[in-house]
Amino acid sequence: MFSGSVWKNIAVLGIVALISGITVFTVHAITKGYIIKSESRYAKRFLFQVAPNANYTNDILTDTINIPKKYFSMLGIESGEIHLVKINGKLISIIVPSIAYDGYNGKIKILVGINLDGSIVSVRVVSHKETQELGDKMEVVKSDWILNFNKKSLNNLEPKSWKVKKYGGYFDQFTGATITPSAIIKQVHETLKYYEMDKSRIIKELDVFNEIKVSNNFEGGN
Amino acid sequence: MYIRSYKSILNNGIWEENQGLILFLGLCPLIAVSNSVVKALGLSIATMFVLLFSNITISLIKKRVSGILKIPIFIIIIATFTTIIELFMKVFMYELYILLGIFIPLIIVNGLILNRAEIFACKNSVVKSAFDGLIFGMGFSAVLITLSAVREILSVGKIFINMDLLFGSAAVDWSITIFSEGYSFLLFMLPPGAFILLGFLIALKNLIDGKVNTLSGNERSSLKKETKRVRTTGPVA
Repeated sequence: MFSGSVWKNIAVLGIVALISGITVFTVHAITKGYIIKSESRYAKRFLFQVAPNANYTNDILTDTINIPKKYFSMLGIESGEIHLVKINGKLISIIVPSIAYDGYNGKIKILVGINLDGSIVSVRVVSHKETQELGDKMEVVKSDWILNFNKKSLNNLEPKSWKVKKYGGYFDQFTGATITPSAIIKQVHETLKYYEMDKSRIIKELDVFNEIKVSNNFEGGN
Repeated sequence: MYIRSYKSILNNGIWEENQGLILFLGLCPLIAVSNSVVKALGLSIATMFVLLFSNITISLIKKRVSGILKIPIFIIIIATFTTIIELFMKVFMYELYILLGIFIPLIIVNGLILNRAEIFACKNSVVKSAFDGLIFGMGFSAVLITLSAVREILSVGKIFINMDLLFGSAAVDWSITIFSEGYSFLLFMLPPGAFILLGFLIALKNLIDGKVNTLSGNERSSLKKETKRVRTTGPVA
């Protein structure tokens, strides 16, 4: 059997762990609300940059619809939702998350804002591990390169133009880096193709959604 | 024993036993996080917070904890304060927290903190332990921030980039361009550059130590030389 000192040790360790647990729990309980606020502020920072204007009336962070699983590989994602941008209940554009894997170092997560007609509102890189100062010109704070995507669509840019200039495409490469911009261009192109394929579902789903709302209101009125 | 006056804590923490330059504790965050001043400041604040409060707490309970239980209990205490500062950083500087990533939770296993707990805090009074934590934290932070400032200047030609992550929107244009716009030197952005510069910092410290020794120790060294001569001639005769 254990000797007395072992029981004493267990007791001391238990008490310390308990006090530590209570302390962490208390601090967590106090800060929880604030942390959720900072998280959503952080997430929104990029979302509102790819919304067409600041006058949207819905909460673009939480107003979402799902993406069917079969499109996940196309977008490079494992989970994710389409964020909706609405003005007075009317859908004006969507924001699609997407991940490029062909970068120099790991995943490049991007957000693509798309107007309902299929043209790009804007693109932003949310996170990446590309080489600092060499491959990070796609950050909007570092250069205007990413703004080249604005207003582009499958209609006004043919498939062979979705490349860097070096390979006969439309987009500039950064000095010293072609891999990173190529990866982003390719993934933005894929995202637009996805929208073409899934467009009818998104608009239909929203219409059904709106109709339910309308009919509910109607019943409520009666 | 390891009982010291405040003056010697100050001297040892900042200079003689500097955790970054002499003992090389916390080398991993030192190398990884020193690529920008704002990240270095963020990690410095977090490390100093944990070191200060873990030293105080450990000093408070030193009489009740002994032997085999010491290390696990120290780790629990350090982990508690690390989690607390992590939560606070999420509230007040979420973006900086994201930038620092894994290096905030890794404070738990930073040898510097456990070293101070084991060597000093569990043998000294609360006030002295708090002072020790603060000073050794400052010594580590000084190396981290100096290294990051040099790296930032040499790698992108600017200093104090993105300080708004820590000081709010008032600090948006604190960044100072030192070399021409568009300057960039990749080596100093990556870990090898950090190692090279850390080497230079250590060399600089040793140089200063050498100068100080030759200035203050002239008399003693001349005395030593004589005794040496006597000794060498001794066996021969």
